Amino acid sequence: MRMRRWSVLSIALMMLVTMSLSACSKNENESASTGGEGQEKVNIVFWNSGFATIDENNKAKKKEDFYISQAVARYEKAHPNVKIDVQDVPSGDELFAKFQTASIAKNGPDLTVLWSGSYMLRFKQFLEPMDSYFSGEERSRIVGWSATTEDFTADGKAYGVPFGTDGTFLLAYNKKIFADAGIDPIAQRPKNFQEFVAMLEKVKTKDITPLGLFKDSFLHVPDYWIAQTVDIPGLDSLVKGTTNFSDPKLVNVMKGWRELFEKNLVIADDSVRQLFIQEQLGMTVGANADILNFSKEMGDKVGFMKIPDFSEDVKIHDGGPGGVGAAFVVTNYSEHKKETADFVKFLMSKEEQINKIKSGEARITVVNDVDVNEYVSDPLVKTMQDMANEPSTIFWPDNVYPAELTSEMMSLQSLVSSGKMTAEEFMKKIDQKRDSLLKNK
Amino acid sequence: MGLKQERWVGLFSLLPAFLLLAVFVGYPMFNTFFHSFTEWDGVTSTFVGWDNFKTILSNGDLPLMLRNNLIFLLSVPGILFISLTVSVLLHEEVPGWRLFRSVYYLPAILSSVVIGFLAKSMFTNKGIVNTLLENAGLGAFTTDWLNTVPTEFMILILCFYWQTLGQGTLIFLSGLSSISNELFDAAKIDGANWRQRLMYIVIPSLYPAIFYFTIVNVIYVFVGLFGLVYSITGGGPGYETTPIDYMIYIQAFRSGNMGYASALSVFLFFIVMFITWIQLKISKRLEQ
Repeated sequence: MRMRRWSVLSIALMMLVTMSLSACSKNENESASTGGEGQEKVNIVFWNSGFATIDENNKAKKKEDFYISQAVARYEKAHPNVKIDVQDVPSGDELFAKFQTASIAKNGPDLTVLWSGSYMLRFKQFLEPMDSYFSGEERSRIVGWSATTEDFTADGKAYGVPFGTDGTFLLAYNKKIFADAGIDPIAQRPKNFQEFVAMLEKVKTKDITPLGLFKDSFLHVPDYWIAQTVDIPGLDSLVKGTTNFSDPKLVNVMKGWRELFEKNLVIADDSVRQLFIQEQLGMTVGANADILNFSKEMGDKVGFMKIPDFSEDVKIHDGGPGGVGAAFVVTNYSEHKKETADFVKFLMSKEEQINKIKSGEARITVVNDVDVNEYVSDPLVKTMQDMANEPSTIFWPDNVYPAELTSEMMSLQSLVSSGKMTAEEFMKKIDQKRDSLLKNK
Repeated sequence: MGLKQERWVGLFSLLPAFLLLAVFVGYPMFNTFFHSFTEWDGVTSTFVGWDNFKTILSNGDLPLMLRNNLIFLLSVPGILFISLTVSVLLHEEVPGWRLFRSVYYLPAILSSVVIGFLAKSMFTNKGIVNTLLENAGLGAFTTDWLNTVPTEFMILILCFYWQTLGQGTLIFLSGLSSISNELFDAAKIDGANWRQRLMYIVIPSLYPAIFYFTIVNVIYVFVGLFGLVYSITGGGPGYETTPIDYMIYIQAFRSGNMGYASALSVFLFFIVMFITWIQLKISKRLEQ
């Protein structure tokens, strides 16, 4: 019996030891291991949500055919002691949740790409400040740092490095459908919301849904109209509570948002890109990444216009939301912060930005020592790069609001579009949320 | 082996399971209870006493969330009835029963998210449902299914039924297989018709299975709807289709209020405990 009792004990202990060892071995895999020649082998884990690794139109393309794999191969060749482990992850909410839980457990990546501004700053406690890794000179050749600093200034303390630019968010329209309706949206650009509605109503007479938006298009359209009405300092005042969202001018924006749905001028559906390409929509929203896809699929039938101004009194005219919507971030629990920052510098180098553009995966850039016009011939790309540099392009307003406020806006805005909440009630709710956030700060 | 020795062997045999439970269930539960009294961002926590619970009760979201859970709760008898009917028909080997047995079980092996995305693609504005309605000359019945209540609830419940039918059928089929054929034969000789056999033999014999199925699904509608809500409605419009478990996700991962989310989890824990306790009481009554 003694033997048997000890056998049971041994089994229990062995299980515990096995569990402990497997936990340790996992850590070992994820951290550095010593190289064969006494040189430390550095393994950098990169959660990739920003670079393409699959082509929806060409499934035969291998991972090695994409820019990031080629860049990693170049970097690893130049730095034999460094191994970059690129792990594809989805972006947005899914990445945020994954990054948050992994960071609490300190087993997240060394490097990833997060949406910039308040989305990224929400995880400040897990992020390595980038100031000490980038000299003034290195910093000055990259634009858009204000999207990554805690006070939204170009020279503030940066918790990330600008990843790329979204350019300016536009409306793509079907030239044929608009011509059939007797409209030239460029020549007859709507001067205000009412004219925009009138234009869409003309398209509707042709039995075509005039406008297709994504479910989160609040960020692309009314949120921009709010921003252009108050200007950037005005957005700051809204966040700080010195002005209110329930200001009648801003309430009107939400009334306009409701009107679009009430008059059946718009559908909100995540398949609007396909519907637009299939010519079932007169118009849809599109950014930097969409313009070439639409042109490729629809040829000369597609045209682009900026989002019309909400009114003639707005402070910023003829602009759009956009700019640096994402940033590279290095985790402060990474064992290889310097090496990771070096890899980011490599990706942001002039040569690599050129390689990225040449690969066709990047159309425009955030570095000021590369002229896109030298490498691309597509006039659409050139126009987008020019527009991205225009002062009328407003940095995504939702990246400026506290993340919790954006979350509340996104949850409630559909109640306005469906008519279950008035514009006034919505704006009051947002003010209340903002005030409660300020109170608990 | 003496009784004392046997007791020790038994205890040591259970030890690994207890340790695993303590580490993977006990610790997270304790941690959640502790953090429900704090303001916590995942790294630093500040003790705030009952504040999180007071906010839950005072911020006005709770009645809406409970209403949403209640709607799902009311859908449980429906799936119970459907599963029971299907399993009885399969047990009676209606034509094509072999094929239907597989067909009904198939959705049970799919994840909620897959089912959710399938439903979403069917019910979008230009999805197959609206297209079929239009082609059938029923264009007046087309609607924006995924942007309006109650159609969103209808789709969520449809998916819940679709996903659960296979599991329910399996449970009831196994229950039915344990009923003696002699009992059916005797009932037939006594002149009992199909309905009488169902009401007086099948259903009473299936009480344990019915009870198990009900309790599992009641718990599911409180803690398991996340996948469907996440993939179909995102809790919207507003918080109109947000049950408590989805609100926990919103608070923890979109807003970063992990302390508040912990308090909501504790709240949900007690709600589920209370409902389970009531069901146990009812079950005991039924047994008597």
